[in-house]
Amino acid sequence: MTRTIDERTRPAETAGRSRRRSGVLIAYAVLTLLGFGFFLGSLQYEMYSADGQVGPAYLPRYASILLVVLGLLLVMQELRGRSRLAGDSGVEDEAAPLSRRTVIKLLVVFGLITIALLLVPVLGLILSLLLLIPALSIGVERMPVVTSLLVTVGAAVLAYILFIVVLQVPLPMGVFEGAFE
Amino acid sequence: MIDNILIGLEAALSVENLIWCFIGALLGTIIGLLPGLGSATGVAILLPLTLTLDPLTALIMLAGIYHGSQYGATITAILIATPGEASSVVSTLDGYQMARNGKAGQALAISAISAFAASVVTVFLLFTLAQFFAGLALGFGPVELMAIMILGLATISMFSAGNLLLGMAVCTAGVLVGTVGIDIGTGVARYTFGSVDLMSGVPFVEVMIGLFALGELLNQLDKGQPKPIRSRFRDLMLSKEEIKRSGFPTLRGMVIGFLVGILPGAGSTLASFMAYGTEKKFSKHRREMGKGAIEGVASPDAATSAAANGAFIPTLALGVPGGATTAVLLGAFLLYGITPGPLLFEEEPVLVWGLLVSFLIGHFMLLVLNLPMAPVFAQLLRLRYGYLYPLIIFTAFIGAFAVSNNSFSLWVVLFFGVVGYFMKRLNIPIAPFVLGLVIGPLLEKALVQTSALGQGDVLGAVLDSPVATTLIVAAILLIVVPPVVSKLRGRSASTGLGVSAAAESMLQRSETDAPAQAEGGEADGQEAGDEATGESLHSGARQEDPTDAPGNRTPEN
Repeated sequence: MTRTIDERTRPAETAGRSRRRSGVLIAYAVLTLLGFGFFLGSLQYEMYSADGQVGPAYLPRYASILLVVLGLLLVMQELRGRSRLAGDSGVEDEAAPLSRRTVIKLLVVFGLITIALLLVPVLGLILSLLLLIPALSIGVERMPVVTSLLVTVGAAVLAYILFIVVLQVPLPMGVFEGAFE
Repeated sequence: MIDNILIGLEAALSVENLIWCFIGALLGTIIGLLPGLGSATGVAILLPLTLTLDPLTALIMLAGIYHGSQYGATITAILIATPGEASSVVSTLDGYQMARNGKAGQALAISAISAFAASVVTVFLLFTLAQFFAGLALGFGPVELMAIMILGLATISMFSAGNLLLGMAVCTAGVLVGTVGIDIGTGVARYTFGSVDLMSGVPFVEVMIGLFALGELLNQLDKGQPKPIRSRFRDLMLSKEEIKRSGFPTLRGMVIGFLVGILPGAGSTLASFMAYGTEKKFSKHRREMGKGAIEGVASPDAATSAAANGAFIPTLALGVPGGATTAVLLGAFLLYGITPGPLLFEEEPVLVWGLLVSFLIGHFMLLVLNLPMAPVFAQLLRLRYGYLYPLIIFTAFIGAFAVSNNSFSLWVVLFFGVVGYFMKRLNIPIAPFVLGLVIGPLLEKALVQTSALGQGDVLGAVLDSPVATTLIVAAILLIVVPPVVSKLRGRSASTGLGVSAAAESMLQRSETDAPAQAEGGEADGQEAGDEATGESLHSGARQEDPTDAPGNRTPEN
């Protein structure tokens, strides 16, 4: 979303941005906690080995301390002046707030992927992921059924040729293990 | 050097390698073109497919993808104002304006030609300098290599999105995640929580697939289907005036891009912004920049292409990736059991020179593919995203499984997919994390060796080496100097404290409209990556054509 600087819209936008920037604070807090977690973990390893050389805790200990410090500085930076966030593109931009519809869509997609992965030991990898394709294209994206099924069949054929015939990758087949030998 | 090039030619010109080079270039163009994918994603997803190939063949294909995606990314930047890669963000500024002015074909043509010209020249520079740096680094021991890696991490932190603290934090997080697993020096299992799957560490290919592919996919879900501006074959013809105007910008972009690309961690994105900023300052037609000036396409695209080649110098010669995609490629080297670094040129000359020569061949293929075929590739943009992203998810997860033959990989992809989504949503840079993850274990290995050399005294071992001391001092200065200078100047610069330039400018100046912001200012290369670019990106895509839906897109579903 383009950051407008129209004074008439500023109060609403400032409120919206404040709401969104809580995400940034949470992200910085997560970084800090990650550092803290790694620091705590490093306490169970030795800083130096018996012969006086660096041990398994050396790099994690110092790196985690650095991350905790940086995380706290970032939190302060955000609270004081809104830290610059320009991603990998170098373009400073703020995403528009998500609509309720989009949030639901994201959760549904995440849920479907999770279910597909949970079904891998039962149905096998290819079948689970093949079922995911129409679930997403028909169920979530409301694409035409026939075309979606054709796309799924096409993916099945390509996957079989590429991964099983050409690359011979041993993919899990779940309850169908041995059925195609 | 001639002998080495001949060795490389003999290796690269085999039928198998030529075929895979073409496949890589074609796939790379398509990957760069499609929304939600980029070179790092493409290389990460397709890397598992190459494990059964000969290492040289595999690397040729992956390099083809890397270079091809730069070409493809510019097609979307020009036709739908949506950069396929971070490095093609700048191409949207003038490229999309050219397209809107009815010159889409010319924009596509000059993009391909300038990228090709820059890449061919810089490949020869790469031949010379890579071997030079490798020769220089042959004298380096673990101490110096450790110092180089620290400098590389400092560079990526410094250049990542203008927020030094955030760059350093994300990079450090990557290094920490890289410590999970068996410690190299002592064999102690760290942060594994008793899990056998974590004993060999967090699998980085799966992390890449999660961050770049799944994360970006999820981020794209709320965006609509873009409608590309049509371009025709006959529009690809350039006039004499257009060619003349593009000459010097291409040359400038090439030089800037190559020099920036050599810096570990700097990457193509910074190169393209600096090239654009340079044109805005020095071009004879600078007043037209941002409104469809051909220089605004030629220069950044030449810079991107040159930087992509330059990035291979630290990657191959020093074992320090030049950017996110070369970090993934470095990971590929390690997967094939090859360690990039100064010894690579001595131990694997056929592989190295075959790979470098394949860049030349690949770029010829890309020019042949893109110059006449760009309008055809553009039709892929009409593929409904509702079919595309389920297919990408399908391919990504199978590819992830194929790397380790382990279901744990699938969960790693999902977890980091969610992480990648939030990072993209919040505009937190991912490249520093990736570099930290890849370089971290290598850094620790060098650290352990340094400790052994210094008998426990790491600092002493570093101070005993003038090269290592110089490099580490350079790393420290890189981190400390910009914020101090900015503070002394009395403002937070974009590469300084990382305070939002927007917040600053709102305090300092009166409101102006977004298009006026985009067109005004004496932006230099760094500032071109600031708000002005961001503003014009969106104003170009959304505000100038009132008949289009926002971003020139059809609504979802």
